[in-house]
Amino acid sequence: MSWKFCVGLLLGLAIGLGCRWLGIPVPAPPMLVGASLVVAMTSGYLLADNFIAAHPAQHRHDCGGPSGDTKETRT
Amino acid sequence: MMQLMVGPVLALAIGAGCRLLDIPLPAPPKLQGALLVLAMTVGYLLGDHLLS
Repeated sequence: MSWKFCVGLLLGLAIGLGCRWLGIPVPAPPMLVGASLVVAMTSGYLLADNFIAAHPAQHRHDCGGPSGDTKETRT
Repeated sequence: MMQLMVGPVLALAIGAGCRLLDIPLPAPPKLQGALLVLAMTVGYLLGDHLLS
Protein backbone atom coordinates (compact mmCIF):
# COMPACT_ATOMS: atom_id res chain seq x y z
CA MET A 1 0.00 0.00 0.00
CA SER A 2 1.56 3.27 -1.10
CA TRP A 3 1.82 6.25 1.21
CA LYS A 4 -0.32 8.29 -1.17
CA PHE A 5 -3.17 5.81 -0.75
CA CYS A 6 -2.79 6.01 3.05
CA VAL A 7 -2.92 9.82 2.86
CA GLY A 8 -6.03 9.51 0.68
CA LEU A 9 -7.74 7.24 3.20
CA LEU A 10 -6.88 9.63 6.04
CA LEU A 11 -8.21 12.53 3.96
CA GLY A 12 -11.42 10.58 3.34
CA LEU A 13 -11.79 9.95 7.07
CA ALA A 14 -11.11 13.64 7.80
CA ILE A 15 -13.66 14.75 5.18
CA GLY A 16 -16.29 12.42 6.68
CA LEU A 17 -15.52 13.64 10.22
CA GLY A 18 -15.53 17.29 9.14
CA CYS A 19 -18.82 16.91 7.28
CA ARG A 20 -20.50 15.40 10.34
CA TRP A 21 -18.90 18.01 12.63
CA LEU A 22 -20.01 20.98 10.52
CA GLY A 23 -23.37 19.48 9.52
CA ILE A 24 -22.47 19.42 5.83
CA PRO A 25 -23.96 16.63 3.64
CA VAL A 26 -21.22 14.04 3.12
CA PRO A 27 -20.29 13.26 -0.54
CA ALA A 28 -20.73 9.53 0.15
CA PRO A 29 -23.56 7.29 1.41
CA PRO A 30 -24.05 8.05 5.12
CA MET A 31 -24.61 4.34 5.89
CA LEU A 32 -21.90 1.69 5.92
CA VAL A 33 -24.06 -0.67 3.85
CA GLY A 34 -24.36 1.93 1.09
CA ALA A 35 -20.60 2.50 0.99
CA SER A 36 -20.06 -1.28 0.88
CA LEU A 37 -22.39 -1.45 -2.13
CA VAL A 38 -20.21 1.15 -3.89
CA VAL A 39 -17.16 -1.05 -3.23
CA ALA A 40 -19.09 -4.12 -4.47
CA MET A 41 -20.07 -2.28 -7.67
CA THR A 42 -16.46 -1.32 -8.32
CA SER A 43 -15.36 -4.90 -7.60
CA GLY A 44 -17.87 -6.22 -10.15
CA TYR A 45 -16.60 -3.70 -12.70
CA LEU A 46 -12.99 -4.77 -12.13
CA LEU A 47 -13.89 -8.48 -12.25
CA ALA A 48 -15.65 -8.01 -15.60
CA ASP A 49 -12.66 -5.94 -16.80
CA ASN A 50 -10.29 -8.81 -15.93
CA PHE A 51 -12.63 -11.29 -17.63
CA ILE A 52 -12.74 -9.22 -20.82
CA ALA A 53 -8.94 -8.85 -20.80
CA ALA A 54 -8.54 -12.63 -20.44
CA HIS A 55 -11.10 -13.45 -23.15
CA PRO A 56 -10.53 -11.26 -26.24
CA ALA A 57 -13.11 -11.40 -29.04
CA GLN A 58 -12.18 -14.20 -31.43
CA HIS A 59 -14.81 -13.58 -34.11
CA ARG A 60 -14.40 -9.84 -34.55
CA HIS A 61 -13.47 -10.36 -38.20
CA ASP A 62 -16.93 -11.90 -38.79
CA CYS A 63 -18.72 -8.79 -37.51
CA GLY A 64 -19.98 -6.12 -39.87
CA GLY A 65 -18.50 -2.65 -39.96
CA PRO A 66 -20.35 0.66 -40.58
CA SER A 67 -21.20 -0.47 -44.12
CA GLY A 68 -22.36 -3.91 -42.99
CA ASP A 69 -19.49 -5.61 -44.82
CA THR A 70 -17.45 -8.11 -42.84
CA LYS A 71 -13.71 -8.40 -43.20
CA GLU A 72 -14.35 -11.62 -45.09
CA THR A 73 -16.32 -9.84 -47.84
CA ARG A 74 -14.00 -6.81 -47.96
CA THR A 75 -10.91 -8.88 -48.87
CA MET B 1 -31.18 -10.17 6.25
CA MET B 2 -32.21 -11.33 2.77
CA GLN B 3 -31.81 -7.79 1.43
CA LEU B 4 -28.28 -7.62 2.85
CA MET B 5 -27.41 -10.71 0.80
CA VAL B 6 -29.18 -9.57 -2.37
CA GLY B 7 -27.63 -6.06 -2.25
CA PRO B 8 -23.96 -7.02 -2.76
CA VAL B 9 -24.86 -9.56 -5.47
CA LEU B 10 -26.93 -6.91 -7.28
CA ALA B 11 -24.10 -4.37 -6.91
CA LEU B 12 -21.59 -6.86 -8.35
CA ALA B 13 -23.98 -7.59 -11.24
CA ILE B 14 -24.45 -3.86 -11.91
CA GLY B 15 -20.68 -3.32 -11.93
CA ALA B 16 -20.06 -6.29 -14.23
CA GLY B 17 -22.97 -5.31 -16.51
CA CYS B 18 -21.70 -1.75 -16.80
CA ARG B 19 -18.28 -3.01 -17.88
CA LEU B 20 -19.64 -5.62 -20.30
CA LEU B 21 -22.09 -3.18 -21.92
CA ASP B 22 -19.59 -0.29 -21.76
CA ILE B 23 -21.94 1.91 -19.70
CA PRO B 24 -20.48 4.53 -17.29
CA LEU B 25 -20.37 3.09 -13.76
CA PRO B 26 -22.27 4.94 -10.98
CA ALA B 27 -19.23 4.40 -8.72
CA PRO B 28 -15.47 5.05 -8.98
CA PRO B 29 -13.99 2.65 -11.56
CA LYS B 30 -10.88 2.16 -9.39
CA LEU B 31 -10.83 0.19 -6.14
CA GLN B 32 -8.88 2.97 -4.41
CA GLY B 33 -11.66 5.45 -5.20
CA ALA B 34 -14.32 3.12 -3.81
CA LEU B 35 -12.25 2.62 -0.65
CA LEU B 36 -11.99 6.43 -0.30
CA VAL B 37 -15.81 6.61 -0.42
CA LEU B 38 -15.88 3.92 2.28
CA ALA B 39 -13.33 5.90 4.35
CA MET B 40 -15.50 9.01 4.07
CA THR B 41 -18.53 7.09 5.33
CA VAL B 42 -16.49 5.58 8.16
CA GLY B 43 -15.28 9.08 9.11
CA TYR B 44 -18.85 10.35 9.05
CA LEU B 45 -20.06 7.50 11.28
CA LEU B 46 -17.06 8.01 13.59
CA GLY B 47 -17.94 11.70 13.89
CA ASP B 48 -21.55 10.74 14.54
CA HIS B 49 -20.41 8.42 17.32
CA LEU B 50 -18.10 11.03 18.84
CA LEU B 51 -20.70 13.80 18.78
CA SER B 52 -23.51 11.73 20.29
